[in-house]
Amino acid sequence: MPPNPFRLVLDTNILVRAFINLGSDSGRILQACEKRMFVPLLSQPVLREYRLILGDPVLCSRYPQLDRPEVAVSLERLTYVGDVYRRARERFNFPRDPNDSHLIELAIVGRATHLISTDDDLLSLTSGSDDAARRLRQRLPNLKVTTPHDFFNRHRDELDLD
Amino acid sequence: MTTANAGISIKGLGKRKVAAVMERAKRLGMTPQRYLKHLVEEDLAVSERAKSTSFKKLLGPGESADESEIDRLVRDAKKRHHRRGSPKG
Repeated sequence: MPPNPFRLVLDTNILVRAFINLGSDSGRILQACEKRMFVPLLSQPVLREYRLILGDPVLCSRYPQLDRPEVAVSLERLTYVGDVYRRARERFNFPRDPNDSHLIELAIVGRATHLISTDDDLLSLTSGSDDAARRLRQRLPNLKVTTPHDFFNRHRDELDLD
Repeated sequence: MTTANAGISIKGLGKRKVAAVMERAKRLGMTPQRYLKHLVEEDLAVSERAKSTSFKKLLGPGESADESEIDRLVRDAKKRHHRRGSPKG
């Protein structure tokens, strides 16, 4: 394991992308987590959302591979690979998308280095000038919010992710 | 709250769920205690498998997918679930 591995918060769609295709950028990031190159951060609200979305009937009917017992086992495996925060001790008001505030709260509690997402509201947080963006920069000045593609391409060589 | 019914007592489990446990146990031909033991053992087996099996073995290589479609489906699913109740716990 690198001396100070990146600490990642994975947005739910990133986990779903990874579970559907381990060969995708998101899947490779997940496999690198398994090799302890990165530490995925987890909290009860985030795990609950992962569980709910991975079991969503519409998503499962489109991607039946998600409707297998191995998916639940994989989610359980994530708790062995990552750092789990049982209680979210932080609150973060994120008016643009309150449904994603639990991801930011986890990033703060777990001192995340990266939040991996494709959501524009989240991606604009580290460069935005609104109140939420300023408050987040104050609390986590080094946090990077990035897409899986950009994260993978930036770190694939140094971490031998292939 | 502790619910007790025919020998099972589980803190925080409401009457309806206890009744469902009894019904499920009966359907499987088990006593409620045996059924609960079975659930615990099953869960521990999942945990053991999770500890020792790689993502690759569990999920297989997968197949390329339309990631923007996945994002859209996840976004819609999130909206549906958040309408039903907050994920905060």
